[in-house]
Amino acid sequence: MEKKTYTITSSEGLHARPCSMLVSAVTPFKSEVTITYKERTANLKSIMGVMGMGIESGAQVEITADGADESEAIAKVDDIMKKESIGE
Amino acid sequence: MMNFIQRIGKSLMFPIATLPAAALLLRLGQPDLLNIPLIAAAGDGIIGNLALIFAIGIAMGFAHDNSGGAALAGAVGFLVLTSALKAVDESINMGVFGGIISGIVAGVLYNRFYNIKLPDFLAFFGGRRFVPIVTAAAMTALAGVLFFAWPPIQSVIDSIGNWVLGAGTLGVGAYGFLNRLLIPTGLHHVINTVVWFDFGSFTDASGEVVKGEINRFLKGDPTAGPFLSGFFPIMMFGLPAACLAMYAAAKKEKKAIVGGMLFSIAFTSFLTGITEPIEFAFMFLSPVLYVVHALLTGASMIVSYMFDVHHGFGFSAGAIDYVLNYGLAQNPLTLLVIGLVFGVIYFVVFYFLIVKLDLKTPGREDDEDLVEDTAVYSDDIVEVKAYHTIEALGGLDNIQAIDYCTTRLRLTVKDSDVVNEKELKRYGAMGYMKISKTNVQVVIGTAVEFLAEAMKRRMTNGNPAPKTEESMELDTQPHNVKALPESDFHMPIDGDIIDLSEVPDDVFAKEMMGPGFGIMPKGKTIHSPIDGKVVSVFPTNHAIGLETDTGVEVLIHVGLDTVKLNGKGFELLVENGQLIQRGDALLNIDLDYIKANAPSVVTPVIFTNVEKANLHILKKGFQRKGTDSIVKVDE
Repeated sequence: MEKKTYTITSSEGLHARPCSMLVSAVTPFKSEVTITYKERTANLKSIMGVMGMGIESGAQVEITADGADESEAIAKVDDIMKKESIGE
Repeated sequence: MMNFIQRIGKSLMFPIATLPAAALLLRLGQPDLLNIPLIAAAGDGIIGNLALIFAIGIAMGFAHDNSGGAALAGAVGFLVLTSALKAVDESINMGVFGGIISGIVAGVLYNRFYNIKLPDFLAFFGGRRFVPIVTAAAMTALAGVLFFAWPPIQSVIDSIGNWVLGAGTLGVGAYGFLNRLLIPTGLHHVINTVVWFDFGSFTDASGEVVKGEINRFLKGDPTAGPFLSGFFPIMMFGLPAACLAMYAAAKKEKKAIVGGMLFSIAFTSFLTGITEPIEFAFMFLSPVLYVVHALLTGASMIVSYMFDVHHGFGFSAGAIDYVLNYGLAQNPLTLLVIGLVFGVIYFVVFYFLIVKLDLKTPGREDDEDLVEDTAVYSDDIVEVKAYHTIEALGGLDNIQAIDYCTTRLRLTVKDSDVVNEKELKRYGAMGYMKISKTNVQVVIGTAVEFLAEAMKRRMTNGNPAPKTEESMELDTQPHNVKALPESDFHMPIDGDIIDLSEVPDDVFAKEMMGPGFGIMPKGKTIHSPIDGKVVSVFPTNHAIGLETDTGVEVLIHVGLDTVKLNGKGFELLVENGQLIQRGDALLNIDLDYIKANAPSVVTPVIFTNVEKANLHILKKGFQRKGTDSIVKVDE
C-alpha cells in the first residue's frame, strides 16, 4: 500500500475538470486507488464519488493505492497533480 | 382445474347468504299462502336475478383484492351477454350459467388488467376502469359464439326431454337425474318446460283443457305426478340431511360459522323447496357430491313412481306445497316414509364421501387450496423475501395494491406509518421512500418483477410463512445490471437537447467525465430524471450527482464555470443520500442570473460510469420536462 498527501491548489477545488483528469489517469491501473478527505474515503476511479466529496481549494487529501501496480499508480497521480496544477 | 372450480364455489358463498330469506319471502307471498304480492316480489327480486347476483359475487370472489371494480365488471358482463343474446335469439335462456360465466370472465380479466397503463390521452380509462370495458367486449364476442353454439345444445336437451316422457320408469329416473345435473348450466329449464307445462293434456270438470304435469296435477288429473312426486323426498329430507352431513364433517373451529348457514339453507329447502342455496353451496366445492345428489334424485323419482305416489306442487317440492296439495295427492304418506329413508341415505353417503375423499365442502376448505394450479410454491429466496416484505409493509391488511416499475415496488397502503423500514431493508430492500400517507415505494433493484409477482400471488393466498427460512442464506446484495431502459429516464427540465460535442468546454465536449448530452434549459427547476438517490451535491449547488436504483450515475451540471458563482442563482431542494423518484424537484435555478454571470447556461447531463458504446441518445431538439425515451443505457 502506498500513500501520498496533497494540498489541492486548483482554484475550483476537485471539481469537474481536475476530478475527471485524476479519475481517467488512475482508472487503467489494477490497484485500488482511493482518496480520503475529512475522514471520508472515496474510490478515485469514480467521478461521482470524488466529486461528491466536495473537496475545495486548499483542502488536504490523502491518496492511497493498494495492489500490484500501486507505485505506478501513485506516480501517475503525482504526475497529473503537478502537470495540471491540481495539487502539490 | 379443481382449484378453479372450487374458487367458483367459494365465491358463491357471499351471494348465497342472501338466498334463504329471499326464498322465504318469495314462498310466503304466493297467492296460495299469504297472497301478498309485495312480499313475493321482494323475494323474487333476488331469486329471479340469481344469475346477475352470481355474476357479481363470482367476479368479486375471483378478483385478487375482492375489488368492487371486478364486481361492476361482472354485472356489466352479464348484462351485455344477456342483452346481446336476447337481441339475436329470444329462445336462448342460459339461466344461472350466464351469470357464472360472466363472473368468471370478469374476475379473470380483472386480475389481468387491473393495473393496465394506457397512453396519456386514454389514461382516464386505464387501470380498474379498463376492466368493465374489456369485460363487455369479451362478453359481446362470447354472445356471438353462444348464438351459434347454444341452440344445438338446447335442442339436444329438448329432445331428451321428449324422450323421458315416454320411457316409463327409466324416463322418470333419467329426468330426475338430468333435472339436477343441468342446474349449473341453466339447461334444466329447457327440460322442465317440456315436462311441467307441455306434457300430456287433461280436461277438467269444467271442460277446460290443460297441458303439462303441474297444471294437470293442480286441476285434479289422477295420472299426473310421476315427474313431480320424487322431488319431495329430496327437497324436504335429502338435501337437509346433506346439510347435516356437511355440518358433521366440518372442521371443529369452523362448525359455528357454517352451522348457521347450513341450518338456514336446509330449513329453506325443507319448507319452500328452494334448493339452490344448498346446491350452489357444494356443487363447485365438490362436484362429486353433486353428481351423487343428481343420481339420488333420479332414484327418488323412480322409487316414488314405483310406489304409485302422485303428489305435486305449484311452486316447488317443499313442506308448504306438500301440505297445500295434500288433498289432491295419492299415497302422500308413503312419500314421507320414502323421504325419511332418503334422508338417512343422504346423510350416510355424504358424510362418508366427504370424509373419505376429503371433499372441500363448506367448513372444510383449506385456504391454501385455492391457489392457482399453475403456481408452484417453491420455498426459494424470492418467497422468503416476498413473505417478509409483505409483513414489513404491515401485512396483507395494510396493502391495497402492488405495482412496480423497473426497480421499485410502488404500493398503495392503508397507512404508511405502520411500515417497518428496518425489516424491509433486512430482507433485501435497498431503500424505502414514503410518498404520502397511502403511497410508498421500496427500492428493490432489477429483480423487483419476481418479488412483486410473488407478493401478488401471496396477496391471494393469505401470505403463508415459507418453510425453509432458517437454513437459508439470505442474499441481500442487489444484483444490479448497470442499465436504464428508455422509459426510466425523463427529461429533467424543458429545453433543447444538443450534442455533448457542442458544449463549449473540453471537460464535457471531449467526454472526459463520461458520455451524455447537453440541455439548453428553458425552465426554473431541475427535476429528477430517474428513480434513485442523490449521491453528491456540491457545496456550490451548481451540480448534482444522482445514481439510479440500477447503479447508473447521472451528473447534472448546470451551466459552465458555474462553480465560480459560489451558490448564487441556485437553490438546492434535496440533500445528499435522499431517495428520489422521477419528477421530484431537485434544484431551482435562476437562469437570468446565471446567463449574466457565467460563460453559458448549457447544462451537461453526464453518465459518469457508463461506457460510451452503451449509451444511446434517442431524442434531439426541444423536449418538455417529463418526456421519456430521451436516452437508454444498455447493460
